Amino acid sequence: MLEVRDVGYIYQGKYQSIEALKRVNCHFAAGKFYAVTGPSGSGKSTLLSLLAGLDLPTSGEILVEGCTMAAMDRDKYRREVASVVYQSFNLFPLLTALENVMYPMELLHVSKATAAETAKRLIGEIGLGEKTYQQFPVMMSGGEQQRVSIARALAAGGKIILADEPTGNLDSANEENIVKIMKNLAHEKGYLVIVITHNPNVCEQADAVYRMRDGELRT
Amino acid sequence: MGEFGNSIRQIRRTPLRSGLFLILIGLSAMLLTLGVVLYRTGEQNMKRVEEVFVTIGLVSQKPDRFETMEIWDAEKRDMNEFSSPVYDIMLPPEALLFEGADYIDPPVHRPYYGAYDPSFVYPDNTYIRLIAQTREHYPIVEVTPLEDCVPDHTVQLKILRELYGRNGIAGREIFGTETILFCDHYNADPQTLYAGKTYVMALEWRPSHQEWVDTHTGVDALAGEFFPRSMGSNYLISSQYSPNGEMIPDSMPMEYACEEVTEGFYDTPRGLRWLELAKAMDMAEHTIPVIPTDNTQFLISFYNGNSVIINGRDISPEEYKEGQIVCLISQEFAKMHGYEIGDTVPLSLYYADYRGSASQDFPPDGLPMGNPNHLLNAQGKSYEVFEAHDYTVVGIYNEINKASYSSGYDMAGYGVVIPAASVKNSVANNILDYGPMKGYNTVFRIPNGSVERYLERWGKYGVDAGISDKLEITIYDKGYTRIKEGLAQIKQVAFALFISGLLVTVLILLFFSNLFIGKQKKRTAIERSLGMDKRSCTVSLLSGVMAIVALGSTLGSAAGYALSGLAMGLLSELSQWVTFSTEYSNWANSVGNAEEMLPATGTEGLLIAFLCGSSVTLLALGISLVQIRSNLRSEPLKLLSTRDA
Repeated sequence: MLEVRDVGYIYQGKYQSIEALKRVNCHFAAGKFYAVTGPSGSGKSTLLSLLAGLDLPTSGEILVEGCTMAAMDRDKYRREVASVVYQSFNLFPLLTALENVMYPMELLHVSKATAAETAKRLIGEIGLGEKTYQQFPVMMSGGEQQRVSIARALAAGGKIILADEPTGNLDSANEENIVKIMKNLAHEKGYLVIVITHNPNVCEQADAVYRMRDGELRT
Repeated sequence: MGEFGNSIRQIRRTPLRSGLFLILIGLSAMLLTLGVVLYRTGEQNMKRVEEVFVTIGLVSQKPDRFETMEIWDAEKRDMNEFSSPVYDIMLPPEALLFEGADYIDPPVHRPYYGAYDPSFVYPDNTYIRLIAQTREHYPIVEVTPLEDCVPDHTVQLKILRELYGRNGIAGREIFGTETILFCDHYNADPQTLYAGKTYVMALEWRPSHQEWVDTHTGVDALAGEFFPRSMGSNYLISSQYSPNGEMIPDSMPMEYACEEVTEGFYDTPRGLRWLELAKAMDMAEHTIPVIPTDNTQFLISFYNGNSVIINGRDISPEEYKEGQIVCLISQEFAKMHGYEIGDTVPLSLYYADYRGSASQDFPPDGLPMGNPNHLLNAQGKSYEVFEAHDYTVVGIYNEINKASYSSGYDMAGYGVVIPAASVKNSVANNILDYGPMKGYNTVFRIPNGSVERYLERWGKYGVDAGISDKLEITIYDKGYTRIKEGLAQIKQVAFALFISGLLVTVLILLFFSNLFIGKQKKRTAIERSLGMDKRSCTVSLLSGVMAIVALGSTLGSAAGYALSGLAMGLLSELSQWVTFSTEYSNWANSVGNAEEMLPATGTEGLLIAFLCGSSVTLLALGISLVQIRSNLRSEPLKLLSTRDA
């Protein structure tokens, strides 16, 4: 589904350039739960950023279903294909849980009623009750917020979930739940789930683990 | 429109912050609008002041000394002393042409004209007839004494013939006879009058001697008596002047207005002069005063608002400049002849008087003061018409407040105002009288606001030229200097309001755009990561902020517009900036000069308010776009990867 071919990335700093990725090659298939791990500064987040279409590789290319990302409308790609889940949840603090989940659908011009109905279903599917609908992020626990952020990632209907340390701010119980949700999404609903993590427990649950070091990828 | 709705929703969910922003942006827009409206008001009023206000100077030559004259008073049997001014030389207006005077209109010594037309008849019930040498009080008659007498007391004369007069001369009406009382009142050594001889006399009426009243009973005692006009008031003597102010010697000195009539007397040059005088008196009775000027404001009665145009319009600057045949006429004159706007008035100008004031010779309330005493030229003839036009009436004026009749500054009764330039022909042979420059006949105009500079330069020049003690210059600016100062202060306040409004607006916008946009980098990053393109992110961030700014600036600018009138009034009241100073104007304020300083209202005020509101909105848009650009430059993943980002 996603293919990374000889991808390199150089951060052009003001005084120096940093080569964050060096000829990375890998392949991610739908219905699989991948973990990408490695020490800080190894290039994990850079790779995620490129997979999410937030930037383009300095060299090489990323193919989505065989099409090079460089030729794609990357905003559309993020709206309709790939969604990102963050360690710090990154929900809109002034919107309720329901509104946060509805947001990606509003960007796709889905009617308000349909968006609300879908959002409620998704919130239910990730194990949160109706009382959550009108809660603002600040009123929710970390685990609840992360579930809402996963529901928001699913809301657009894309089949790729990219997660950047999704369990980094969670206790072990919540961590377990989130990993479980992700695994289910991959194995039962056919999503491609790629998780950037330092957590060995998450790696253990993954179908495949990529290890990064100094911008290079090793299986 | 999802981004717009969400943006507004997020703004609504921070009511305190949004409310504070709304209030502050409203206040700053109000300050801005108030400042600009007041500034514009100051400018407009300054312009209006420049248009309306005219700074004029009146020139008056001071007498070099006063001479005491003794005149016999037959009733007192003693001399009366009179003091009269003496001018060694009469300074021309050119004496005031000095470097740096900067005249808009240099000083001109203007006459008033006498215009004759048989149709000009003063109503019987007005005192003004007295001034027009009416027949009752100023007759020219042939008389003979009832007995030989020396008229150093009241004597009786029998009227033989009237050269000028009518059946109703004052005494005759009362006596019911052809006898009048007579005394050569002001002559210490009157000539003997012989019964049986005929004398021609130019007479003037005066009240009866007390002695006569005491020794006689009945109305005849109060009928008054006549005396022969003599000395300065002797009609027979010419007072014709040359244009340079030199008196033209009379071809035939006739000191005494009483002569014996003998056979063939009226065929002699002296006799012919008496007949000519009668003719001139008849013309004077049908004469109205015509005041030539270059600007209606040069006539003090108009300048200080005592005279106002009640129908039609003023003579325009172009008409003045081009010497159009147009005129303003007094309400009394219009009523007398049924003149209306657009009618024409036949004005045959036949003399120019450079000494007197039209209002003194033709006083508006009819009390006789002076009059053209010398109606004959140096050849003993009546003056010929030198300019005649049918002037079109463009305006009718009324003198609503009258100054002292003796001031000479009032408008003359039954007067007509014409453009000076409409008189093309020379008056060189028609100068009936000539006197020194006086405030009512010599006016100049200088630029508004230049009073002090002018007076300073005049002070220096006048001393150097040795004429500073001979000329008195009085300048009137209707308080322009103070008003301009006040308006300048209002503009300064307005400018301060504008600058503070602008600064406050910028600071508020910087602060709140940082709060609503700059601090929302993470929100932008989330939106970007959700696939929102940059344009939508911009709309999302802008919508809420701009909604508040638009609302705040609209309300604020509307409030500023509404408050501008109040603020103007308050500023004016506090400082009395709009009241007219009397520093250079000692006239009482009246209708004409009570100009009110009005704020810029109506369409322009609304436009200013709209522009101020729009400017605030545009400024907010600019600042916000800069902030948004900065937001969009940040790498989303970096911002979203840590909790603290």
